[in-house]
Amino acid sequence: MTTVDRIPAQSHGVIALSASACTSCMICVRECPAWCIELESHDEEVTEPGARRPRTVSVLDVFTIDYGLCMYCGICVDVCPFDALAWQPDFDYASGSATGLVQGINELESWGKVRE
Amino acid sequence: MREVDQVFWADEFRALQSQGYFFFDFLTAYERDSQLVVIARVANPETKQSQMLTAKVDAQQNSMASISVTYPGAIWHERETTEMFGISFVGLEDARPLLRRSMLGRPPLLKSSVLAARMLKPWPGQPSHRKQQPVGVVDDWLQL
Repeated sequence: MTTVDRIPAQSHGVIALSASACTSCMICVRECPAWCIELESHDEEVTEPGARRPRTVSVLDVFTIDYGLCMYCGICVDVCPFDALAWQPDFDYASGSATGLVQGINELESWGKVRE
Repeated sequence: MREVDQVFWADEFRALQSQGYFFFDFLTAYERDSQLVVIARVANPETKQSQMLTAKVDAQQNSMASISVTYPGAIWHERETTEMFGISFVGLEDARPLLRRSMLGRPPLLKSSVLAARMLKPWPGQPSHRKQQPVGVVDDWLQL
């Protein structure tokens, strides 16, 4: 049994991002007491088959969490209206430098699957 | 949790210790509606029961009676509370600062203390089309 197996699933280990669920609403960024989340996005028009007019969707360009600033309160996970953020029981992301603790979209998405 | 008058703060803990509450857990303070409150918890190891007491700190004097004579374990907590909230404990013999060696500036955990980090880092949640005040900053907060 590894350490991760013995840690409860909802432990405040690391925050996983599901970029496809994120609508760039900025609620997590604004609610974060530690100001550790940065988000940039742009709008794209998507034309769905059968739709009368194209739909505007926000596409994530940048989403970073600075774990050097994060205090693991979980407010971002709680306030996300689209469940794009979720706790994962992983702790193995120590770094030798402060910049190494800043995780981008790819790293945050790699922490387990938010939606099965 | 039981609120006691700050005048009887030390007496209450002396009484609790005589009733078997030998284990000192913690002491700290918090600020609510501009009122500082000191909070401490002690436990009875025999009965596994605990008592949590609070007392409002007198705003004029900004001091409390120390309980460190009754509970020596409270010394560290009272030193920390002095440092972070600016409350002085009367009767605390070892009042050396723990982290803020110079004790310059305002106690950092008071809500009126502006954190330097809030001025240095731009708020990442600032909307592009209008100015918005982030949560948890003083009313006249201005981003440089």
